[in-house]
Amino acid sequence: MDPQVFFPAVKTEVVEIAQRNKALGYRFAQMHCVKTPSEMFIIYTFEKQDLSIEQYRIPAETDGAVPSVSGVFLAAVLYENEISELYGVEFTGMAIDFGGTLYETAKPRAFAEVAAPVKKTPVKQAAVAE
Amino acid sequence: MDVTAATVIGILIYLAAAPVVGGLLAGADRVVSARMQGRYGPPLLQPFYDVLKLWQKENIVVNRQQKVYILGFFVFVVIAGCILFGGGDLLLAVFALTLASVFLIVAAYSTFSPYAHIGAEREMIQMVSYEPMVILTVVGMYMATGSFSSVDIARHDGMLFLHLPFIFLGFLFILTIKFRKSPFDISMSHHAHQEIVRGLTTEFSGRDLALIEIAHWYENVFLLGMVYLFFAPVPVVAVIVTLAAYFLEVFIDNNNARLKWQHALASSWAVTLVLGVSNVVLLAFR
Amino acid sequence: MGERTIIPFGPQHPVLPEPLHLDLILEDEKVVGAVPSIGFIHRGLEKLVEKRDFQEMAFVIERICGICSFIHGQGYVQTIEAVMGVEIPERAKYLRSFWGELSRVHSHLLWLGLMADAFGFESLFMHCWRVREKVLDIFEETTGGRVIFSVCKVGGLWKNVDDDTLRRIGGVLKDVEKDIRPLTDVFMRDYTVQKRCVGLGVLTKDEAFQLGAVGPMLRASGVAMDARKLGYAAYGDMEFEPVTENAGDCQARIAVRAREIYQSLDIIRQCIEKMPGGEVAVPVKGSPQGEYLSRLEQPRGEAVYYGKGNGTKYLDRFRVRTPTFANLIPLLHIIPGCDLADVPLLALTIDPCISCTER
Repeated sequence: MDPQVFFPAVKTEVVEIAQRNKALGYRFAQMHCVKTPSEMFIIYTFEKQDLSIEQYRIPAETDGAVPSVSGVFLAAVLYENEISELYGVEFTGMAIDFGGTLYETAKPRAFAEVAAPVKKTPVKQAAVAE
Repeated sequence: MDVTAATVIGILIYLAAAPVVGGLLAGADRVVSARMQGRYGPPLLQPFYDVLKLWQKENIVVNRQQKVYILGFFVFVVIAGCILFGGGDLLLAVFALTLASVFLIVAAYSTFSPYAHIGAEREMIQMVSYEPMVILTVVGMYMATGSFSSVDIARHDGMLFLHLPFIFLGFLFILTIKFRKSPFDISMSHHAHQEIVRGLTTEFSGRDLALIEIAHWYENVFLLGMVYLFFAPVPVVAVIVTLAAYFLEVFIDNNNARLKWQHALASSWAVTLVLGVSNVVLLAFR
Repeated sequence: MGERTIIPFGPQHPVLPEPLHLDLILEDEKVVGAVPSIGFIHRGLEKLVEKRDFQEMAFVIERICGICSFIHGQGYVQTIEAVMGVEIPERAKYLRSFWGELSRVHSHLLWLGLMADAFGFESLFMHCWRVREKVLDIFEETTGGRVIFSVCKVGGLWKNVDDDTLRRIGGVLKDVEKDIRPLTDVFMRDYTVQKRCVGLGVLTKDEAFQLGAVGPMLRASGVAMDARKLGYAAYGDMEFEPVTENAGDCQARIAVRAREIYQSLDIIRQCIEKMPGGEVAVPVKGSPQGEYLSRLEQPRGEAVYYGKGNGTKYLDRFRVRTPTFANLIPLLHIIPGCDLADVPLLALTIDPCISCTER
């Protein structure tokens, strides 16, 4: 399985990281945002043709601004729109800006509110069928 | 055209029998297609059930003008058939059918749907594709028999097919377009799984759609009547060839993808020029 | 220059398997631009991690999509097993590969049928789906479900399949292969199919790689990337190479998926031959703590699964990056310049699974 290394970085470095990886032959694989009660960060994944990946963890906050990498990798545009719509992170300089209409959820920034876990009785796990 | 008793009887038989025959042929088409596709398929009388159901549906139209045009389409298809089966001028019958198609196109344009408009555009291109061949067929029959009258053509000595073999083949080719079968079901596929939804008839519903369906039955009987004319002196052979031609179209439909209008236009004109013109030239030098 | 009209394509459209909306800007019948809209089927499933414990969440992730359902479930449990450091038995790995490859066969058959429907070849569509029924019958026999199997769990599998059944299934699959041959022959050689598909929607090798295309979309342009080569589940023991073509057009993508069906049937045969004995599950104690990102090869391309646990039985985050999400930008790249008649072909050529895209 892949070694799981998430290089820490800050948001001002993202464009430079993207350009450096592009020069090394990586392409943009995906990015996503994680928000827990204690922290919030964005993970960028870059992928090479031999299936190796490099990942970066960027701290972020709702209503904070992060420079967009869609100038380097057009493919990033959908992911950035998704994160900005669901988590409220603003990406400056997106190549295509859906303006919050990508999913048009009834409640804006639906994923930005992290609920405390629901207390309920544990599920009885069925025995393994033979 | 002398209106004799035979004319009137011919017209009456056509008016009464054509929808029944057309509907049964449509039903047979669906059953045979289903079996070719490995399915069970609908009952043979399904087209009749469909038309009856459509007749009972509520008519939801945005624009009432389309009813007039659809009625025009229906009336002129029936008139074209009456002229053919009543012993009238074949060229007039063909042009009556063309007029009917124009009515259908105008009906599609009168709706506000972009799908219907594009369907209408494609239908016009289809007409440009098949009209030359149809007219050459009638011209060929005239050159072989000396008359445009369908009665005279039917009573001609010897099978017309022997004088017009290439024209017959060309006519079979464009029959695929007229019957709206793949590869040329471009403007209005029976299966609705194409990019312009239902194409020409997207906005039609209820009784209008039922009327269009019945008009298609009349039209199919007309077209098969023209195939019959090639073999008229020997009725048994004629009936067999006519039915075989119909099921050949069903077979072709099930074995081809749908082509684009550019292919339909180019191939029809190529066939018309090669088969149709060569046959006419041969007849001229006979 | 002709008059410009805007034709709405979708979300309800007979040719689309799932709701996708494209506003096509047409000049006569040529498409000069497309404005996409998604979001008709966004259910926010990823947020359910807050309410379902990590074993139950597998059932939610399976239901992201009906076609890719098994591999979503597999991706989820694989990720959580990696987070928790759980090592599952060999037989479970092999059975997961077995079902995964059967999923690939059924998905590609479904797609071939839809593609035939898009270019108006209804009888080919019906035959492809008729053959697919045999594969679905195998699923029902081994897992109890035709579409959603609910057979993967953290720690292994809920169900086992005995060796006699597997051998019999191997025989059934030989018949399935014989049935599929004439169908793929039509796809690759029929005159009208080629007239519609050759030269359509060309994506060059560079474009495909840079724009983020995955799966057959990428491999048909000559880039040999297949996430199964990472060696997860039993793929490390299987012999196969990524199927590639070079033309990068619709016909090449049809060819890649058709050849992948045969490759999958071959991998299944290898699985059945090499299937180890033993249990299919290990008990799992405790809760996930830590994060992990894994990649699996869905029929539509590479899917990325990220899981983060915080020591309680509810995960912090589970993220699925589905292949169609990555293929949407290449789709928007190949649409301008085609005819209206080609739009359904292009929309289907990426193998769209919009329920996966939107989750």
